[in-house]
Order: sequence, then C-alpha cells, then structure tokens
Amino acid sequence: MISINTYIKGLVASITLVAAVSCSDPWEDRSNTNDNNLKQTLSERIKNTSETSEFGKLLAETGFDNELSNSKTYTVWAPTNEAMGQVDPVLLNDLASKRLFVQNHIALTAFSSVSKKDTVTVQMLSNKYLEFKNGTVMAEANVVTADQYAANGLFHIINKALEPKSNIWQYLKGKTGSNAMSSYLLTLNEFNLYRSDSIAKANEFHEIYADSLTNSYLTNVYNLNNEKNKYTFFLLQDDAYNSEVQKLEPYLTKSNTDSTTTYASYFTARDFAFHKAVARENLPDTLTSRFGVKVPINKANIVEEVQLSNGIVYIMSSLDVPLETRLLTTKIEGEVPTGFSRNDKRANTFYREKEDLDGVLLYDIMVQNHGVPLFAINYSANNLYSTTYKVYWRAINDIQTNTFQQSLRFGGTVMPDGTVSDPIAELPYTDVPPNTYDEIFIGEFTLNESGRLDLISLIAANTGVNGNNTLSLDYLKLVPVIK
Amino acid sequence: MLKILQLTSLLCILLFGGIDTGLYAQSLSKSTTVGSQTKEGIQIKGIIKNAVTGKGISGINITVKDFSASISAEDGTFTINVPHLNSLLIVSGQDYQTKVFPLKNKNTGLEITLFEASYSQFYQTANLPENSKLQYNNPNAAQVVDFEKDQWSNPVNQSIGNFLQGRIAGLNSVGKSGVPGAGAYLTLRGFNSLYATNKPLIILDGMIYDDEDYGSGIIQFNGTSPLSMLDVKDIEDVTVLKDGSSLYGTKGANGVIIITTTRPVDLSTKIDFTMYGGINQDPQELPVMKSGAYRTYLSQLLASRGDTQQQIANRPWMLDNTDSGSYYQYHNETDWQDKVFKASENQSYYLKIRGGDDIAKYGISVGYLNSEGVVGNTSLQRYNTRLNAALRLTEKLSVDANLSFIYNTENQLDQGQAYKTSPMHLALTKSPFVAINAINATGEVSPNLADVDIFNVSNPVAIINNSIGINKNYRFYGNLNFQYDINKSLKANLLVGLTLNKERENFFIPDFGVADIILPTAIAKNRSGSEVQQYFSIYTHGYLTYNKSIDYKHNFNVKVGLRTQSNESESDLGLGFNSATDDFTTVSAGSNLLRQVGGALGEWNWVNSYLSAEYNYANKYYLTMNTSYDGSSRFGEDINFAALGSLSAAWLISSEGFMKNTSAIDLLKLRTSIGLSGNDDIGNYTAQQLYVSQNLLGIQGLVRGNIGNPKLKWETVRKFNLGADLALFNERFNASVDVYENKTTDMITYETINTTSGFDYIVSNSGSMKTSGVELGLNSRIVNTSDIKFDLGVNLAQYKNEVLGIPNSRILTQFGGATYITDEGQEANLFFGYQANGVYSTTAQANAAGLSRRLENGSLMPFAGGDVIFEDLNGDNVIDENDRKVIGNPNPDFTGSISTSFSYKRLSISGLFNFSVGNDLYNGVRQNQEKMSGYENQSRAIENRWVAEGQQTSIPKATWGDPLGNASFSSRWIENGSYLRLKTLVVSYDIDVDSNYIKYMKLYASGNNLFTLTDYLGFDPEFSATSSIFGQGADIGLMPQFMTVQIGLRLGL
Repeated sequence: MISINTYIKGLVASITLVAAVSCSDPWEDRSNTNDNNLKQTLSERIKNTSETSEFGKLLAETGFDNELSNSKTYTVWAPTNEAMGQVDPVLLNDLASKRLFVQNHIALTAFSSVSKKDTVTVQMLSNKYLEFKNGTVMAEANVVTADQYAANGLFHIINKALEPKSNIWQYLKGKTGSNAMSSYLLTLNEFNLYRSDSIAKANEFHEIYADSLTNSYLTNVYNLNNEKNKYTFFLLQDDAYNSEVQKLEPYLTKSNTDSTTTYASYFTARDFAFHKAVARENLPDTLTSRFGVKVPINKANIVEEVQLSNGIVYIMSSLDVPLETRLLTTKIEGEVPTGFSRNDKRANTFYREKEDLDGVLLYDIMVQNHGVPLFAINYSANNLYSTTYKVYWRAINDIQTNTFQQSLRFGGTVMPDGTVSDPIAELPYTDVPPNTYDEIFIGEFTLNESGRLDLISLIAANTGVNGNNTLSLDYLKLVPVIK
Repeated sequence: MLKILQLTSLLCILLFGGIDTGLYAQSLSKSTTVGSQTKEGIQIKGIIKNAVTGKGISGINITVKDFSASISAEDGTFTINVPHLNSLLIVSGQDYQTKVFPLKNKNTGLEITLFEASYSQFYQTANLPENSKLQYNNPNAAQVVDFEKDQWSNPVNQSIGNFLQGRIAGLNSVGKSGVPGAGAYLTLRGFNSLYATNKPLIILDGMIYDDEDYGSGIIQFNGTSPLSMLDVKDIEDVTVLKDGSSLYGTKGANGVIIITTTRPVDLSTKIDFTMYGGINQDPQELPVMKSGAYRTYLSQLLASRGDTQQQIANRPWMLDNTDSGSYYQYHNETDWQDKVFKASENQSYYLKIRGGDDIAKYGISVGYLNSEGVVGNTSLQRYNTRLNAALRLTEKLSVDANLSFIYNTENQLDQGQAYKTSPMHLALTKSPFVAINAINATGEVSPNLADVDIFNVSNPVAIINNSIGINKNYRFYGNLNFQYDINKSLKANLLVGLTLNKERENFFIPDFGVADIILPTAIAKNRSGSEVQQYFSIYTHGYLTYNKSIDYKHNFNVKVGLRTQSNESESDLGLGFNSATDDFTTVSAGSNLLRQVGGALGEWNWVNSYLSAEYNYANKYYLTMNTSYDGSSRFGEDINFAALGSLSAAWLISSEGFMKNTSAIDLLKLRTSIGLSGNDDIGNYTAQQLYVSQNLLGIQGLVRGNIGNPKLKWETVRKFNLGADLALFNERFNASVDVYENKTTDMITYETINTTSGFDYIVSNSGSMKTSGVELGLNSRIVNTSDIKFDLGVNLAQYKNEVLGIPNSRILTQFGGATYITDEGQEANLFFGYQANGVYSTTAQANAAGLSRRLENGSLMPFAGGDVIFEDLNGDNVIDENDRKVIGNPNPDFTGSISTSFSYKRLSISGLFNFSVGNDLYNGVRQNQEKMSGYENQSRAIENRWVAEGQQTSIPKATWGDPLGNASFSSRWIENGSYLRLKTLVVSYDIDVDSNYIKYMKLYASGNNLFTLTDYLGFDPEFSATSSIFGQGADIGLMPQFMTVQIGLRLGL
C-alpha cells in the first residue's frame, strides 16, 4: 500500500511548478525595456550625463525638467559644462532670461543628426529658428556628441551655448533715440502711410499677426519681427540717412513739410530691407528691393554687421541710391481697370489673351461696338511722385482695319452729372493704327503732390460710330522725369 | 438528375438481384451452423480475477458466441466448453469492462483479469460502417472515445469538437475561437485537399450530419458550426475511422467520425440530472501603450509624415493647457481592453432519462445552457431535446428512432479584421487618452458615450451597448431505422431520415460612436443586415447484413447497401444603410438607394452503393474488403460513377499458440489497409456551364460565369495504413501505433488559362499531393490499488505533407494579411514573405547595405537607419516581391495530449493536457499592434522602437504610412505557435448516499484552459479563422479561448 502522502506532496509540488511556469508571460520579455536610455526621460538623461550636468541643473532651476519629462517628443541641444561656463552672465541674471536661455536649446519633435536635408531649420521653444547643418553644426555651436536618446526624445551635446538673440525688429527698437532711421521706423507704429494700414491696425486682435499689423513699415515692407523668415536690413547712420531722405523730398511733396519728410523717409527706408539673410561674403554689388529698386551695395561702407535671430543688420556709413534707380516707372495694365464710365457694356468688353508679333503672350482689354461717344475706361495709380511724367501706351488694334483714336485724362473729380471737373491733365486724341505693337509716346503731365491718382481715364472718340469709338489698351507707362 | 435516378434504380436491381442468390446459399449453410451448436467441444477451466484486487470475481458471464455460456463461481473459477482452442471467450459482468479472451491453445490455468468499465481501448466497441465490433477485432485504424467517463464534467462552453481535442491521435481539433458555440476546425491525419473540404465526414446515429455553414456570415468573422449544437452529455461514444473509409465512397476521403447518442442500455429506469454554474475568466490583456507613451509615439509619427513642429504642437492632444478647450477630452487614461473584455458566467441544466421494457426502450434528454463570451455581451443560449427509442414491433421487425431538436440564440459581435466595428480590435488600437463618455471643455463628464474620436476611430463601448448581432438557429435531425430479421444470419435494414436547419442572422451597427464606411456611391452611417439560411436534406440507407460462421473458425460477415442523399441549401441576405436614426434597426428602414440583396442556392444529390465482406479465420486472421460505387450530381457530364474500394487485414499474433507462454503480452495485433476514397466537395455547379447576371450602365444581362468542366470529378485519395496494437503486463500498458500515407490524385486546382478566354481560371482535377505520418496512442495504469488508481495516457501524431503536382506555377494565396505558397516538392500552405534580420542601427549602415524599395510612383527609396533589414534574395538591391521566401509552416511538427487521471477512494482528479509543437503562426494582431504607421495604439514593445542613430534595437522606427514596408508580411510576424495547455482539470467526488431514491450524487469542479504555456504573443495560440487550409495559422484577432471554472452536481435517480 502506497501512502497517499507521497502523492500529495508530489502533486502539490507539480501544481506549484505548473503555476509558476504558467505565470511567466512571453510579453514580459518583449515589452520590457532593456535599454537604460529608454527608461529615462530627457531631463534625467541630461542631468545624469556628466558632460551636461550644468545644463541639467539649469533645467531643474527653470522648471523645464518637468516639461522634458512629459510625453511629447523633444530635441535638446545641451551645451557642455565648459560651454555653460562661458555664457554671458547677463543672459542668466533673472528667471525670465534663464527660461528664455533654456527654451533656446529645446525644440519640439525629434531632430536626428542624419537628415535628407543639409540644413534643417528648427523652431526652438523660444520661438527662435536655428539652423541645424549636416547634423554637426547647430547655429554657431558644433555638435560634440550627437543622437543621445531617451524615452521622450533626443539630445545632442554641443560645445557652445545657444544664446538667444533678439530679432531685427527688437534690435531696431533698441536703437530708438540713437539712430534716426530706427526712430522713424518706430513712429510708423502710429502713422498710417496708406489707408489700408489703418484697417490693418484696427484688425489687430490679441496677438495674432500683431507684429505685422501694428507698424506700417512691417505691414508694407517686411515683417522684421517674424522669426520664421530671415531678412537682411541696412541700417543707415544718421548722416547717410538724412541725405537720402533729402534727396527724395522733392519728389514726395505733400501738403505739408512734415508729411513730405515722413513719406520721403518711408520711400528711403523701404528699399533697405531684403528677404533672406545674405552673409557679408555673399553680398552682391546690387540688391533689388521688393519694390524693384536696385540698391548698389558698397561693402566698404559697412560699419558693423549684427547677426540676429531672423537675419543680419548691416550698419552703413553711406548707402547712396541714385534717383535714376530709386524713382520707379509706374505701369498700369489695361486689363485691370478700376471701372468704366458706364456699367452696361460688359458684353462689348473683351479681356483678351493674345500673342504679339514675337509670339510673346500679352493680356489686354478691348471695348468695341459699344455705340457710346466718349466711353471711358478708368484706372488708378499709387505711389506717384511729385514730378513730371512722360506717358506711353501700347494699344493694339488688330481686329479692325481702320485706325481709331483714344485719349487720356489724369485726375479730376467726377461730378453728379457724370462729367469730370478739374482734371490735372488731358492729353490729346492719339491714333491707334491697325497692327501696331509698339509702345507709343502720348505726352506729359506734371503732378504737384505725390501720392495716389484715383482717376486715370482712357476715353474713346466722341462718336457713336462703331469701329471708330473702339478702346484698346495693353498697358500705360508713366515714367517720372528727374528734376 | 433524371439520369442519376435511372442509374440508381439500375444499380439497385443489380445489387439486390445479385444478392438474392447469395442469400439463398447462405441460408443453406445456416442450418449446418445450428446443428454444430449441439457439439460438446473441449472443456476448459479458468479463473476470473479483479485486476485491482487480484481476487476472484463471481457471477461473471463467460460465453462462446453461438456455442456455450457459463457463469463464474464464488471464487471466480469457471468451466466452459469451447469448439476449439482458438475460440474467443466473451467475458462480461456488471461494473466490469466486457472483454474477449483468446484461448491461445490453452485449456487449463486460464487467468482472466477484468478492469472496470471502459478501461481498455481495445475492448471498446467501434461503430464502423460495416458493423459494430470490438476494437480487438478491428483490422482498420480506428479509435473510440467513450464519453461516459468525462462527459459529465465537460465545461459548458466546450462543444464536441473541442471535447475530442487530444483524445484521438491524429484528429487535429483546433478551437475556432472563444465565441460561444464557435466549434472546432477538425482535420484527421493532416489534409488531403487544397480547395475541397478537409473535414472528416460526420455520421450521427447512422446518418450524415452536415456541418457546413451555408451563410456568408454577415456578423463579420463569425460563423456557425452545426456540430457544436450537439450536447456532449447526449453522446454515448465516438468512433473515429482513419482509414478504410471507402464504404462512404466519395465522401470518405478525410476519414469518418461516427457519433452515437444516448442509448437505452437496460430495462431499469435511470435518470440523470445535472446542473452546472461557472465563471469565464476574461483574457489577460495584451500590453498596450499608456497615454504618455502613445502621445510620444504620435508626435514622432506625425513628424515622419512631414507635419511641421507648429502643426504638431497645435494638435488638441498636444496642448497641456487646461483652458485650451479640448484638454479634458484628450487627457484621459482609458484601459479599453478592460471595457471590452469582461468576466462572465455560464450555466446549464440537463436531464436524461433512460429505460423501458422488452418492447420499447427509450432515452430522452432535455437541456438548457447559457454560455457567455468574454467580449461585451456575447452569449449563446441553447435548448435541446432528444428522443432515442428502440421499439420491437414484431418478433422480427424492430425500429430505432433518433429524433432531436436544437434551438440556439447567439448574441455576437463583429470580430477579426472588422477594423471599424470589432470591439476587440478597437480595444487594442483605440487611443488611450480619449474617454468612453463625452467630456466638455471644462472637464465635466457626460453620461452619454463619446462619438467617433478625432482619429476617426469608433468607440467600442458604443458598439457593445448599442449594436445588435443576433443569430437564431435551429436544427431538426431525425431518422427511423427499421430492421427486419429475415433469419438469424440475415438482416435487412432501412434508415430514412431528414435534416432541417434554419438560421436567421440580424445585425445593426449604429451611426453614433462608429466610424462611417464608404460604399461605392455613398457614405454609410448606420448599417443593418438580415440573412436567412436554410438547409434541407433527405437521407436513406437500405442495407442487408449477413453473418455466418463455419465450424466456429471461418467467420463471414457481409453487408450490402445503398445510400442516397438529396440536399437543398438556400441563403438570402439583405444589407441596409443609412436609416433615419439609430432607432430604426431593420434593413427595410435603410435608404432605398443603398439597399443590397443577395443570396445563394445549392442543390446536390448523392447516391452510394456498397458491398462489404469480412472474413476471419480462427479469430486470428482478419480480412475485410469494401467496395463502393458512387454517383453525384456534382460530377461532370462525361464522368460516370466512382468505383472505390479498400482492403484491410489484421493478424492477431498474440492469439497464436506460440504466444501462449509469453504472459506479459496480452495483445499484439498487426494491421494493414489500403484503399481508395473520394472527396466530392468539388462545388455543386462547378462542372456545369453557368451564366451570371451582369449590370452594364443600368442594363441587365447575362454573361458566362465560368468555363464548365464536363470532366470534373471527385478527388481520389489512396490511403495506406500499417499499424500495431499492443497490450502488456496484464493490460496495464496499452498502445497503438500507426504509420500512414494518403496520396491524393485528381486533386481540384484552379488552373490559370489564357486571358483571351475571358476567364482567369478553370477548375480541373490536375493536382496531386501526399500526406504521410505516424500516430501513437498509449494508455497505462501506473498505480492500481483498490483505493488509489493513477492512469497516464499519451497521444502523439505527426504528419508531413508534400505537393506532388499542380498545374501552372506555384499557388500564392492571401488570408488575413498573410501570404501562403503552395508549390511542387514542398509542403502545401507555407508562409511566404520577406526575411527580416533586425533593424539598421545607423543610416550609414543602411547606406552601406545599399538596399531600397520601389514606391508606387516608381521611384526608389533607400532604406535608412531604423528601417528593417530585409534579406535581398536575388541580389538586385531592391526589396520587392521577388525577395520573398518560405518563412514558416503553419502545420505542427507533432500534436498530442497527455491525460492523467488519479483517483483516491471516492475522489478523482483528472487532467488533460494537449500540445502542439513546431507550428508557426502569423500574428496579425501583433502586426496591427506594431506596424507603427498610423493612429492606432500600439503594443508596449514599440516603446523600444528605433529613435536615434546608433541605437541598437529590434523594433524599427515609426513612419507614417510605412513607405518602406517595414511592417509588410515578413518573418517579423511569424511566431512559434507551440503550446502546452491544461485543457481540462476535473475534480470529482462521489458522495456516499444511502437513499432509496437517489442512486448516486457526484460533485464536479472543473477548469477549462487553466493555463497555456506558450511563447506566442497573441491572446491565444489556438484559433482557426477559416474552413480552408489557406488561412490556418493566421491570427486575425478572434475572441480568444478563455479560462472557465465551473462546479456542478450530478444526481442519479
């Protein structure tokens, strides 16, 4: 007889074994992280890396260790302890500056040292955009050790701290009082150069688009407060600036001298900001402003070069832009009228897409067979100078065999009866012969005050005979004459 | 059809006409037999002993068939006259297993030991198509499972297919899923066909039990299994016939499972009442990322899509400011699996009454069960009744009636790859930071559920609470079997039966909380569906049996018969979309423009005539010959009847005289068989030329639907089997070993044809395949005392398949994201994909390797750091489909089970372990969980993903849309599916009752799937999503089989 006890012991033992074995879960091995790096958050990793412990301390001090422990993905460019020692103490003298300093080292999402692009522009938490080149250079710092990883992102160890820089606009603001050009630009916070500027400022809401809307210069030229783009800005020393303004004043005569100076200043300054940061060594002889003005650059006149977060400011002892290039020809496209003398001739109005004799595409307007004497197409022009203009047109008469005539009238006020009183100039009727594609000189007129002309009319012959009262215009060219 | 009828009648005339003469001859010899019974014979002496105590037993019947009978004395001794010393004694007694005992030329000193009922596998009765016989005498490879032992403790949610798992060597039963009533995918000895069925034929109470699902399964990835309707407690025994199944002609190629239900045994009335209650344990959750890790993952993933830092920073879930208006919606920690999986209950009540008198005996059962699933509110309610009766109408005429009616109501949910509506899939992949309920900007939680989230992912709780998925089905299955005893040797039987199966499926998926689906012409908000399936079959079976023994040495057994079966199936379905509100849940409430209707019809007929002749000499040499002659409506026009047959032989070495002194060997039998069987699952109408309707710009017309093949015929399987049965040491050790080879010829294949024909393929009999294997069944009693008994059993089975020939080149098939290859010279159905060898640690390493992948736009994209290192097989430096190879085999190296049973006085404990070794699985669930290409939440393992140059890891980086195919079907997703499972553990206690009313009272505590030992990373390594072999081993995310613990009471009145 075999004792039951032997069996029970064996049974208990085997059941225990089975239970123990069954508790081991194949997922345990798989989902457990063996990689110590992945067990730590970025802030822990940076703190525990001896090379970057100083920066780690700063993270803790500014509270960013919490941010870097959360579940977003970050990339940190952590300066070595040595680099931290070389940081300008001014940048770390209060908590706000320290936070900004730290934010300038952290970016959302992961940026590996290997990328398909040579240069990756990275938006830091400071809202500054820094360039990460070839995975080895971050802004002005070199990467010492790349691609350290943690549970929530990467960090690269760099040999120089990424000190947060101000942007061009902040820099210009700082120059207010010491530099006439900067002071002038700041006055444009209040002054509306154009009607649209006041609308923009009225629409400024919270802080969205606030930078570009609150200053007439930023609205009309470039938003130098925008961190996302890079700009090159030429800041003139007072003498140079004043001489440029004076040079322009005769052409921007307004009703009073203050206004004249303001507009002359604007027309001076607007051509000194350029898109993209152009390094000194890459500066060409001539830069073209967004308004089409060719600005000759003489590197010898650069007094100082200031690298800023969204570009470069060159402080110039002189930047002389000749009037020949400064004063711009105004071209009015025929196919973009502002209105007509009457609005019932849409069926006779043709917006045409044609080729000239050289096969070059052109767009023009032709109003034909409308049966109305003195039918007129109205145009307007902005930014006109207070000077004499030579007027040219190109008008194409290609589907009629006869010559017709049309004339131009500048300025004036539309009276309630439809007539126009007090025009600035009325040029005589000029022939439009068939199949002529040349630009033709029409005449001259003189403006005493610079600014906007709301009414420029192309007027048909005073006849109801169709074929003779045709209007055609490719473009008008108003060429300013230097006094 | 008419042709078949004519042929059938002709066949009948031929067969029965031919037999008539035989009958006459046989009845002549019958008289000599009767005469010989008066002979004295030789007197022999012996003793009957109890195998446990070794003491003699009194009152045991000892008989020699048709010759003499005797009863053992007080001390167990007996004397009996036998015709010769090769006679077989039949020894039977109450509470003991009836057995046979060969004399082996001995006439004195016979010692016969008896074990308790249903002990030895060799003295079980096999219900074979020819007749019923003891396994001892059986020349075929068959195995019998006696249900009495384990049926009463069977877990409520385990159907017969699952119950058979591990109990028969070579019967591979794979539980389809954990859905209540899902049943099991059954194959016997591997597989013999690629496109036709591999299911064994199921014979229930003498009639074919159809186990097909005729619907399309509108509740996605659910199905029905009629076999699982049977209550395990209704079943008396199951005989699995692995070879020699040619009596079933073109239906026997995959072997036969013969099920016998409740039989009245004796005249006393026996009442069994059982009640069970149990708990279903919810599955262990797969580890998925929590909110924090998920957000980190998302922020990296979106960066890989090209989103700017600003875009990423502005996502509502990235804003950590509580005033942002969406903070509270996206800062939760929801364990979705916890909301979807739940522990549940099951219960069942069952009453069985057996009894009767000389004239009429009956067995009646009624049962109710309620089995709940572990996902949402899935459940199965079943009502079943069964009446089996045996009536003696006259002296010579008797009738057996088997009638059953079963009614199921199933609540189901979409599962598997229903990515928008499967609560299980959603639970694994839905973002953990969104909440179940709607939350407003100030963080107040509404009692209303949250709608589809920001990622357009459905809310699984909304689906569980508000969707409808009901499958109601019933089956009537009944037959009458008339038997007329013409004389003692000759009997005529006629069985007539019918099957009626009806199934009604309804579903409704609400709009609220569920992602929309895109139809060709509309966006579908809510959707509904309804389907009715019907199957009707009439079955007849007429046969004559003739037994004859000459001089008690030459024993003949002849059976001749004719079976017919006519079947009709129909399924009709309608799908509705965009009803006005989620309160209108029927198809008719859907938009008239979008409604879809469809269905299928089937009609097929089968006739089978057969002749079986058995002969044995001196109970030592056995020979069986079977032939059959089949006709089917499925065969092509040019094809006539299928003539098939088999021959089997056995030699009982242990009964030979020279073995009489080797007392250690109780039984040694060699068996062999060779035969041809057929598989007629070739499609009801495949052989015929069909037209299908076609809509062209609103004009309806008919176009040719296929190329009919008038030469299409059954698949032929040549079965060869060699086996041995062995019982040693007083039957303490019993073993059966079989080796086999099944060779399929005329295998159905889809042959690609010239595109100028307008069709892609033609179905033809042009393939061949071979499956061979070994099986071992072993049972032993290790400890055998009157108080303690310990039994150990082992089943092992192994098979190896080889495709011998297929037309055209290799066959590539897809299922659930896996690609399978079937090609000549290798096993069928192998996983075919890329070989992944880790992850590039750095971009420099990837550049050095120089591999790239061609994108859809034709350009080449190089692999970089963090991408998977795929093997470039053809060396062209481009990873494409030419670089795929065999990366796994879903077929196991071997399968089997270990059964143990321990009893101590009235307490008994039994456990059944089953295992599968060496099968590979495609873990499609993990593929979804680790593909890292979209908003789906992922497994915790991806927290180890590649994030930085130089990082050493096996998990690649997260990339939106996965352009480089890091998650494509590759060895990354192939896992070893080997497992060992404690399938059932039963503790039972037989309470000592002293009552006139209660005969016995037994308490059961049983556990199902108590533990599973596996390296597989899915919920469960055992699943089967399809009935085709192309798809086995692909885990598409069905409800896992779960652990159940139940207690029950069985009362005998």
